[in-house]
Amino acid sequence: MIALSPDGQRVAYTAEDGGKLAIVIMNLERPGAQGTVPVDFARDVAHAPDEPPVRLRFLRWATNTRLVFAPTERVVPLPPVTDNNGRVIPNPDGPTRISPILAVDADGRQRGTLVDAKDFMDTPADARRTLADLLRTTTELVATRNEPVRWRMPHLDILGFLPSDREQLILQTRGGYGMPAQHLVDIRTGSVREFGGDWPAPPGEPQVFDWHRLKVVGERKVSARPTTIWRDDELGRVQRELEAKFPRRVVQLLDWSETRARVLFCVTGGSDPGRVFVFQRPEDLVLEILRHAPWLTAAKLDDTRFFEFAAPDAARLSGYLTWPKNPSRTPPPLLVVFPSGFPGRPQPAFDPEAQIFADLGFVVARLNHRSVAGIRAGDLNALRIGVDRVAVDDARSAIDWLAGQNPARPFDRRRVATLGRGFGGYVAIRALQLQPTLFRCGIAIDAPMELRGWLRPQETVGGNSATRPERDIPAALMDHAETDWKKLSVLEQAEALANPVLLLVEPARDAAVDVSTEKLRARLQALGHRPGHLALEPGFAAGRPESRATVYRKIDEFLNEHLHDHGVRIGPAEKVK
Amino acid sequence: MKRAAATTWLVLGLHAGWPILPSRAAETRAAGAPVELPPMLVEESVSSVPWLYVNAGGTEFLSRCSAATTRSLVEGWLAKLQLVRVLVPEEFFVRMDVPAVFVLYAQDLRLKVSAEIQRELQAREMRLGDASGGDGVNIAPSMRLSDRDMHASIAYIDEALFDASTMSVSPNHVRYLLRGRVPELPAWLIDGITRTWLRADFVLEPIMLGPLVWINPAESDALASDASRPRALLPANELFANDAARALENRHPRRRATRASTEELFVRWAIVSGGEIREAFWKFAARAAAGPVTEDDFEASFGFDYSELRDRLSDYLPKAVKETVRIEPGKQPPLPSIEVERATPNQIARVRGEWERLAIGHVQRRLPQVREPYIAQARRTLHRAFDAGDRDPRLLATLGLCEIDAGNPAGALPFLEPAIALGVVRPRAYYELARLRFAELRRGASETKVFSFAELAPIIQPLRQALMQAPPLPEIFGLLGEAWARCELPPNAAELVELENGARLFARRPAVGYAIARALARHGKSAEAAALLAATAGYATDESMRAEIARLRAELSAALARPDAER
Repeated sequence: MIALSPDGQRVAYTAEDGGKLAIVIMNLERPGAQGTVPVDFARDVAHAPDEPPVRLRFLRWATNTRLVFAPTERVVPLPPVTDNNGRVIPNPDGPTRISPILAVDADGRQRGTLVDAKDFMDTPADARRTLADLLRTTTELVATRNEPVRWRMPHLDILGFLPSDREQLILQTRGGYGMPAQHLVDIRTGSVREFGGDWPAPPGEPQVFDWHRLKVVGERKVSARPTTIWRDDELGRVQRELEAKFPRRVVQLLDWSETRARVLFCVTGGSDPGRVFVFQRPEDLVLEILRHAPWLTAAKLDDTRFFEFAAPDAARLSGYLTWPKNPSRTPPPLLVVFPSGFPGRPQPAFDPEAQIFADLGFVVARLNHRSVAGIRAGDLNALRIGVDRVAVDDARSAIDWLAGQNPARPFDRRRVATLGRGFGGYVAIRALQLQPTLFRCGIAIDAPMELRGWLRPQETVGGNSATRPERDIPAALMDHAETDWKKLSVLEQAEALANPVLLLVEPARDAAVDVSTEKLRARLQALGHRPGHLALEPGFAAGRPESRATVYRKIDEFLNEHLHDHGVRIGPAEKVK
Repeated sequence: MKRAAATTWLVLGLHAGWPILPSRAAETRAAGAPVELPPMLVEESVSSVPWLYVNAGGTEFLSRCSAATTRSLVEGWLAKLQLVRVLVPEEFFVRMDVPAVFVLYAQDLRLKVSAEIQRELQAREMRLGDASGGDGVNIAPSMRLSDRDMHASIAYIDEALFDASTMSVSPNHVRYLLRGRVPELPAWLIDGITRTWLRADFVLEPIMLGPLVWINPAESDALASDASRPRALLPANELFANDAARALENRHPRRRATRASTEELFVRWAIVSGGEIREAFWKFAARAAAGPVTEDDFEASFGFDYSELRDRLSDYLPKAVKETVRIEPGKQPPLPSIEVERATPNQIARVRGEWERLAIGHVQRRLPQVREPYIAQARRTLHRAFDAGDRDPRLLATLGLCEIDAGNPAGALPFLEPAIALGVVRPRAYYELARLRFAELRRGASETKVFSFAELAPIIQPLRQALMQAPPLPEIFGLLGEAWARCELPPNAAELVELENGARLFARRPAVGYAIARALARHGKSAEAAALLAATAGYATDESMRAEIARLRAELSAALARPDAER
């Protein structure tokens, strides 16, 4: 998260410091001066050490010198209790909500918790029977009663700052015993008072809210590249000015000062992992204040470009092409990477993995599915019948288009490999079955080889619907009365899988994946093939460098063996029925 | 030890006088700074020290130093010019067919201001009194002056301290060489190279580039100690903006400082990166000289886009403010053999007279009250050879230009006409003659009067002759355009090519483009004229020129919209 102070002179942003979350406060007038405020001081003793680092749900400057922030709410369930019949039942109280709202001065001083959910803990109306009860806090009440007193902690929703006095934070409590209520919290003292107003909750994504003018000024749109539709003319103009300064990049406005003389924005795209700037409008200067991965310099990264074109049926296809600085051979082989879901999220502008494969000498095409910005009505039938075929046909169209667009920069169309995770891994292997002459080998990471079992794990691997894993695909699109599961299955069509595959699976991460992978390996071995396989360590998914290095080495060996090895016969392949 | 010697040299202020004297000193003089007057050389009749002459590397040296010092200086100067071309390829400098002039004199011939000038200066001082605000007058011991087609330097040398190895080429001289190049280089390139030059050391261990100064020394130090420090760079599309866009650019001091620093950073990055990047840079520079550049042009040279350039420069910046870079000059070709000879009267008159002629213009601009002694001295020097019967066309051309500079155009014609008849290499002489003749032809004629080709031939012909000499001058093409625009006959194919060439070479000069467009329009080339105006309109920065171009474009559009039969 990142926020610009109302006068545009300070920026506060979150950063991880030794695995812990911190807020960095930067003074743009004296750029060398910046302070770091640890967020973990807000943790209580109940926080387990192996829990992931705290994340923020709110970070905004109340005034030019005082910053308010709030970690995401943490819920600590109370232990079950035994009822009068000796049965273990859920605890009727609680749960404990840890939801502190904190403030800190721009110089890092005067920091601390303003309020927390426990400050608003409440009881049923009938729990307070006397005048003395009414004067007690809930904690005191619970402590002084002999019989149990029910209590709950409400959620704390931050609504914003009072425009006439920005030192007053407007807060709403909900989920307790009482009705939702609004309060004013003094950001200096933490004192709370009732707020009689009916302050609206600021809209969340995809709406863009102007915290100074208290109105929705735009809307983020999901598409192949992130875009914002501005309702505010001035911000639309700023967007256009900045896009002119950063051609072929994605510019996203993040925040702005009260007068809009300074605008905080992020630039992504190209080979760069992304940078954050402040647009100083009176000077017409863009001040670079942050880089997402400062250790990766532009000169060292492989060239990456966004592409978008119309498929033969007019659908918009898009993705990113990363070109190796040092191709492994001339022309270099192509690695097609499918998105992990369907329609899936748009591929990020920068992908470290694409850089790794480009460093190995591959041209890397990361494709978006055609429906990434929403499924076209005309595509629905084809997708219902064969989502795999649509994805593979689109990949073929993309390869044709890319080859046609870059005659001076050819890639080796005889050496094309596929790769994907999850559903993308499934498509990567289906591509070998559907287009064996085009795709020479494929790599699937934690991918189902059989969709029915993956979408309905309870049928194949047991379990119940409550534990059904979330899939980044609309199940209804594939799982319906007319679905021909056999036609969608890699496993059922193992005979059609003649090209080499590498199956990378983290055991026990997804039972459906484990089961279908093992079956496929057995079937391929029975057919006389030698499918590559590697059991992934949990560290791979967690991004641990040593685990990743092992896996990428394995992938490199696999691709070398099946694409680069001079002993491998590369030529027109026969289609296996 | 060498560093100490270098400092000594700088105090001596050899060639161009920089840094103790800015080149074209008074033009860039800050308010309150003293006026720098060129030195007046001691007459031959006063001093018996002989003049020596060397013609080498496109420069005529006239020296009153010893033969050894003269040889040493000439060799050192030529060696430094070779190093200059290591940093900037030859093709980016102005090419001049007229030799440069370099006058050297030593400490035993300290100059004196003429009594006439002294009187004038004293009178001036009395007039100004305290109101002068320190705006005094100095006689500069060393100075560089330039004309449209040549340049000249004078240098005072203390022979006891002189060490040729410590010489350097001033950034202003490099700037002059860049500014004269045709097609003209864009301002960002000239400024970037000139600023980079400020960090270049050609003395200690040639060639060293000292650390970049980003915005100011304090900011540079801060960046050097914190690579993540926020920094504002100019985006590439603004860095390479054309003149018209730059004229409308935000003038905030911080932005101007950012522009200057980014230009230098870009040039430095390209030179220091070497290899493909340096090659790409010069390729792109040549493209930028030919006309406005686009991101595609940039990408065709560098292989990446504008946004990545900004990122790369930003990433390089923290290194640039810290590093001292050695540029390997590689093996240099041997210097030409140098012969130091006793100067002939012709050489003395021409070279010395050329310098003194140039001084007239400088004094006229800076302190016109004292120009007469300078005019008299130049005439005296030049006429000494002329009166002795010397009819060298170079001498004649200088005599003619001297009269022009002295404000006596009628007196120039008797010298310019024979000089040109003898085929002198002196583009400005051709231009001045044509200009005078054209002015005479137009005297009393209406602005719309069309002349016969026979009437215009004496104007067009010398201009066309000048086109075969370097440097091509924009005013020659402008005048040629004007002449053709008033001519009853259209230019033939070869003459049209000349006009088109002028438009190409001086695409950044709307006055040239406008004059040529008028000529084309006059002779039925409306479409060509319209295209030329469209290309040059973007460079027009002053209101009247913009209005003139707009008016002519409107006329041409209307003409082009009419059916052929009506045109």
